Amino acid sequence: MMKESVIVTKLNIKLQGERKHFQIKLPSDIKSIIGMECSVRMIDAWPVPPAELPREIINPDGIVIVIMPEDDSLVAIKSKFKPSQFVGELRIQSYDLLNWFYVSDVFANDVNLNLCDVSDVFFRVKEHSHGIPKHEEIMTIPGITTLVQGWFLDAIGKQYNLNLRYEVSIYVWIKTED
Amino acid sequence: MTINLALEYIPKRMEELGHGKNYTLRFRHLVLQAKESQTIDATNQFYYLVEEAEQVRVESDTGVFDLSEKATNEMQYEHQSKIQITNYLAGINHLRFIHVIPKNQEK
Repeated sequence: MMKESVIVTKLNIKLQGERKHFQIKLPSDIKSIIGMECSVRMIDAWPVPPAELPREIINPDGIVIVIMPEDDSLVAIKSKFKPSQFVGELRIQSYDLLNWFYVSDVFANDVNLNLCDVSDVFFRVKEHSHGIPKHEEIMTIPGITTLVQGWFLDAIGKQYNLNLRYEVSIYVWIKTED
Repeated sequence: MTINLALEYIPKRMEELGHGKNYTLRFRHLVLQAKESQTIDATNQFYYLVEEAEQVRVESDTGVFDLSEKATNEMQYEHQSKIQITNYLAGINHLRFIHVIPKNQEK
């Protein structure tokens, strides 16, 4: 009988541009790796993106009009939509024939869930209540070796020029014989 | 990694990766000009750094080798794919690799 289980590995990132190498030990009775998944938990507060600047419009008669961000309908829509934050890059390598088998850009939670939200103010849109359920990326990697290795490279700290502390969790779904 | 270690290590590594004995070796000694940066396309090839090179940065998809790098917990001697080499010195620097080129499988 086959059994599925998941191995969780946590990496603590502290420095901007940090590249953390890691190894994940797999059980000796492993048949295959069947999925990969990762998530991010910020320890420090999320960095605040730079504020929008006032926009200048020049009329045909040469008059310059300055529109402040709070009065600008374009900015109002734009500032509500925030692209999901790119946190870093993850690569995982097997020691055998498959070599590098998993490459992924790691993004933080979906920050646009509450965009144009009309629901009750007492039932705020949150990742755990309104988000799309997370699933692993399905794959079949035969378990020849009992160890995989890889690295995670920070991007968010580099982007904001800050030493941000956060935790990256890597979930390796495996199939073993019971 | 010393040359002797690399020569001991490479056959085992090629065996692991399924290339068996189907590969060729070349010794590469790069001469880097002052503050020079260059990129080597090593897709499907392997470059093994055979010294602890100083004042130089070697970065690839496999990892980074840079003795002045503080934001990493491991130095990488095996490099693959696009390799970015940067000389930090204001003078000429040297870098030695063993270049492993897998061959097509023998029929």
